[in-house]
Amino acid sequence: MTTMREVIEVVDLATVGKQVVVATGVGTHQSLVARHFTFDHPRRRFLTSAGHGTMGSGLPYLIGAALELPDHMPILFTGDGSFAIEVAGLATALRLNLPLKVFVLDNKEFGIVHQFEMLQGLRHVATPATMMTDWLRVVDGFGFPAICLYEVNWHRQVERMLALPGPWVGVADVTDVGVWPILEGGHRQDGMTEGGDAR
Amino acid sequence: MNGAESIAQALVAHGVKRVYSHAGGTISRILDAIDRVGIQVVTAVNEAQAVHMAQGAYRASGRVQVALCTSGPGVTNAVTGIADAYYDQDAVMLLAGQVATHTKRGNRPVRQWGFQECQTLDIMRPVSKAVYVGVSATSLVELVNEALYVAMDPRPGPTVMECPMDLQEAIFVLHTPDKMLDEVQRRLLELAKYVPMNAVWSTQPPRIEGVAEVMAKLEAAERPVIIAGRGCLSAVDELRIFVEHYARVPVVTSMPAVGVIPTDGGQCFGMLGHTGTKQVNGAVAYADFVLVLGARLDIRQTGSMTDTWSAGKYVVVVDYDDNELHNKRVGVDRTFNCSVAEWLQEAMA
Repeated sequence: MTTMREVIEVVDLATVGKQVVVATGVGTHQSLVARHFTFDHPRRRFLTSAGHGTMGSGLPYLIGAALELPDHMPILFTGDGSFAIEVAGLATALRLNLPLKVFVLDNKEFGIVHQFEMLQGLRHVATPATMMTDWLRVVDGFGFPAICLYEVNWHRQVERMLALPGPWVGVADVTDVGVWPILEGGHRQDGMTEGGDAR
Repeated sequence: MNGAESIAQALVAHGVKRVYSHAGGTISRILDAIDRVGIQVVTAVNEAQAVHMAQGAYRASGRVQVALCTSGPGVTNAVTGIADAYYDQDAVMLLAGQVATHTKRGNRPVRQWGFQECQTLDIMRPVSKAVYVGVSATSLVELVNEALYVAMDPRPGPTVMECPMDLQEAIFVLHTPDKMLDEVQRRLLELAKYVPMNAVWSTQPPRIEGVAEVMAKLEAAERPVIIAGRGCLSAVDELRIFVEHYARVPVVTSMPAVGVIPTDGGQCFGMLGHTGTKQVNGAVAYADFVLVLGARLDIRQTGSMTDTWSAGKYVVVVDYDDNELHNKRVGVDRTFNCSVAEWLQEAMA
């Protein structure tokens, strides 16, 4: 087990100074990428769904962007919820021979919704249907090399794989659920709620 | 030449090299025509992904992109992509197939008349800049031109064009092949000079007087902050020169603007709002001068306490959409209706 932030920072460090285009899904991982990955437009670009907050948009965004930016390394950080929606897009990426590097940050939660449920005292109803899904086998079925990011020395493996030209998908079991601190409704701008994940 | 072929020719004339699609009966003829003229057809796994790919390609290239879908479920699947492009202002034109004109429901008081028919224009209108329907084969080229221009100009967003099958099939120039081509070329040249009719506010001159006054206030401010939004993505160089050489002010960004200032540099405080950082939200809360460059100040950025947000602040907003300036959620002291690049150039003049 690792954390989203750790995976994001490992990839950030491994790509320092390189041209990258980084897409995300929507949810906890999206905000953590925005906070912790190093961006410098247009050399290090960020692609995300801001206004509509569309889960599952990251992979197709990245496919379109990768076709236009052959000199940028195309990277996707996605959550298990977003990935479930977009995963079939791997088929398009494979047919186009795009060298996508995909990181599935799997907390087996709709993390930011779970956080909202906790903060609002609501029952924990929003759980993903894919809790039992073996993403490595799913990804393998789409013809992408799949890598476990929870084995010993996964940092090294990520660094090695990022240096190779081909596409692959890394799956990490992560412990973090929500985004902390967070600015809730009814609070002043400087009144972010502190806390942590209760599990 | 038939309607579908004229659409393909129009896309060639616009320099379109690649389109994003999901197949289906009512769009097949147009996909065929596009493939024949040598434009690459990328096949997505569903229509929302086709539109999202076009969005990604637009953000990467700055050029208007084309997505295609079939009628009925193709259109309704594309809605999420089109809405996403609308709210994040991506220039995408969606070409949607439709059943033949005489088999459309029209005003009949029934749910559906043709197979895989839905009310494309009514469904798409609230989430797109403009919707179009082909009514004659000879007008399709003009509609494609308008839909592409409106998608780009000046605040980008999606446009949707519905093409009934009868118009795709209709052969509309009964001359020799050479004359056909001449006719199309002539029309395309005419249309290249075309100014879209419904881009009303783009023709207004920018409202940019008084930048020097604001700059003086900025210099006098004790705790100034710049909030950089998506509008800064097209003014990255100007913004960096501005904060390095003209006004050493901390910059905070909205989510879509992350990276307009290097996020590992000293000048960038980080992202504000709902999932921003404490430092950034604190800096904004205690600022006495806020220069908002191309950000909407929606409640994910400001928090929900919009009534008191501006207390003790002088708030200046630069936006090229006048409607945004007239409909702010928080109190604003001064507005400029121009692009961020124009404003910064004026400030540095």
